[in-house]
Amino acid sequence: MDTFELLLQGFQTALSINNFLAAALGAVLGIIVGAMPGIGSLAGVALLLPLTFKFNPVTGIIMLAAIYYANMYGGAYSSILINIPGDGPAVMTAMDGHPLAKKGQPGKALFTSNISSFIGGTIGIILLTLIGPALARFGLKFGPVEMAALLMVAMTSLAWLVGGNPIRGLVSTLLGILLATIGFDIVVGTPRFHFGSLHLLGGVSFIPLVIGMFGFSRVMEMMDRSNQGDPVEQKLTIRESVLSKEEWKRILPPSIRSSFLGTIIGILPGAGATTGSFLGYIMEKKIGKRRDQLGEGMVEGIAAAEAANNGAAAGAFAPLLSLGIPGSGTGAVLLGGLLMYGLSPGPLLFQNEPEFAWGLIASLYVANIFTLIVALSIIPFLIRILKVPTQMMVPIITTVCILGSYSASNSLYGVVLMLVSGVIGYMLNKNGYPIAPLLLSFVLAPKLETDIRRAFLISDGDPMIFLQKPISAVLISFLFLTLLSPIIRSIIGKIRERREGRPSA
Amino acid sequence: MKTSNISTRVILPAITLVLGLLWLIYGLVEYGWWGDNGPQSGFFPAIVGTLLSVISGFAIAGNWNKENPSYIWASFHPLLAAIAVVLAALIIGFFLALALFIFLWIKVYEKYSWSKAVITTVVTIAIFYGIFSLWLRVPFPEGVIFDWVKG
Repeated sequence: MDTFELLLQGFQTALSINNFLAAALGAVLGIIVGAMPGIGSLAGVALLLPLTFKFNPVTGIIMLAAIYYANMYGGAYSSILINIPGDGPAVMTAMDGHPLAKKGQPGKALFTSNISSFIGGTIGIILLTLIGPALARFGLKFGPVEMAALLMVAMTSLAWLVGGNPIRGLVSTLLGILLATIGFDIVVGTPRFHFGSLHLLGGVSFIPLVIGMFGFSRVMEMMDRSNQGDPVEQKLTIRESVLSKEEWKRILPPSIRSSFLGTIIGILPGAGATTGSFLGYIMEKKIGKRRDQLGEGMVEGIAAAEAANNGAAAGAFAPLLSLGIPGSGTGAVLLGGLLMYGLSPGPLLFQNEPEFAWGLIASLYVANIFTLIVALSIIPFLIRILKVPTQMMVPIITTVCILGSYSASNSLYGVVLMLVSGVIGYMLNKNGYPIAPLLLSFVLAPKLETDIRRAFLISDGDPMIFLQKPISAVLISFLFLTLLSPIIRSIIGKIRERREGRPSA
Repeated sequence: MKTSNISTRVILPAITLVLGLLWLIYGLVEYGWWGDNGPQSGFFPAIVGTLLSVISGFAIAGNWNKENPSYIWASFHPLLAAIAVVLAALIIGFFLALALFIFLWIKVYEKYSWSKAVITTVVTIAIFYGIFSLWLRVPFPEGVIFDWVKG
């Protein structure tokens, strides 16, 4: 069967009444939660994850994908209207989005954001449809050695890309792996690092950990009243939000350019929507017609950032589904969800679970269209959501965190784990340690351990096996280059300083 | 607002350094490095522990004289409230404890009006009770008082 036929079958799955309603509900909830100031897509997906347990795996994951997707739309709202980017990908949207809103055109900023998100998402999903199966076929060539190398590259890249300090990123990554080793050894079943606790024997539960790290730590940050943004006091109507013909012409080229760039960035393991939106905006700053005015409230800036981040969000599904490697923290939450449903994404997913894989891809098309309709129609109501003061949101989000973590484990242990994770997440954030790499490595660690142990078993303990196979040799070289780049850069910098210093000395 | 400076920029990587060492020692001594059938249960944790300790050492060195982040004690208020909710849930049940928490937070802590506090509490609890208790059928603890009344 060719890709088109498989996709049509996927549409049959996605458009069954249950799955369609789940995607619709996911879209509405995703936008609302994503739009709430200070939550953003990652915490949004984490908080809404327990809601998907009600459904069968296919429906549950379709809803989760819709939530993820809609969160990306919603994340832009608080960026534009109150200058609080809910999460990484929305940071670049605020650069032009909030100034445009301040100029009295918040509706136009939101409309541009929604339309360019749609363009980015559509191009991203089309590319995912074409690339996903090919990537999975390529993934079949990956044995434990190559897979272990790829996982190490993915983990290190994210540690390097998120936040400004690679050392802190690596500490987060390794801490995530370390937490994942608590509980039974997945290869031979030996209990490890439980220190006599029955709860720890079962390992660190994923949902309470995620809700704590992203949801509850956000609540703690919200208490810092100095971070409360800069609200735009405007009424929003759809009529005032619609773009003129001239504005359409201005946003289409950057949207299309950034969509392609964002999708490619999203496909790279470890990159993700934040890097996508950042590079999309930078590209516009370099080659855009109005590059000199970017940052002053230009629709081109919003379009470039939003198209790129939604393209990347769709592109990130390619490595997630075909190699089992998420491109971002949110992708890691999705992967955790897939694993909890007993689905193991990887090269064999398209062969063994075609109904699920294609149903999910088709549901992204449906979710993209549905989210656009919901997003545009709720523009007038958004101002009300955003007017809910953070003081009121603190007890409400805390309640969601408590209920979500309890419902995932049916015990107070889940709540305790969530609270502890929340405090750790808050402390890490405060000290500049990014949390996304911790989560990504926590999810990927069991696979990394299995593959590394298999690789060393094959080679009888010889680490050179990683350099003897061509794919892993390339990946390991890339890994070392990434790891050594700050050192090389600092050495070059010092040499330059000395050279520049000498004449004056 | 009250703030304090704690040298967490060094304390945090020091904790991860100790954790790394713990994983290395436990990995090697307790779970084993290599056996007849290849890598043992301690193989991977020992590698991760070593790497974490080394990188944490770099983090400590890099942060030694850096300015500490300032903490606002109010940030820990939701934590204290959540602990109180968990304890209260054991006595009066989950949803009653949560309702009390939302109401008291809005009315007493944030000093909003009675009407706002009551409406927010009722609407929030109704939605969450509907989702978690009626729809997802999560068996929440009903508290010792309710259990006692039920006999």
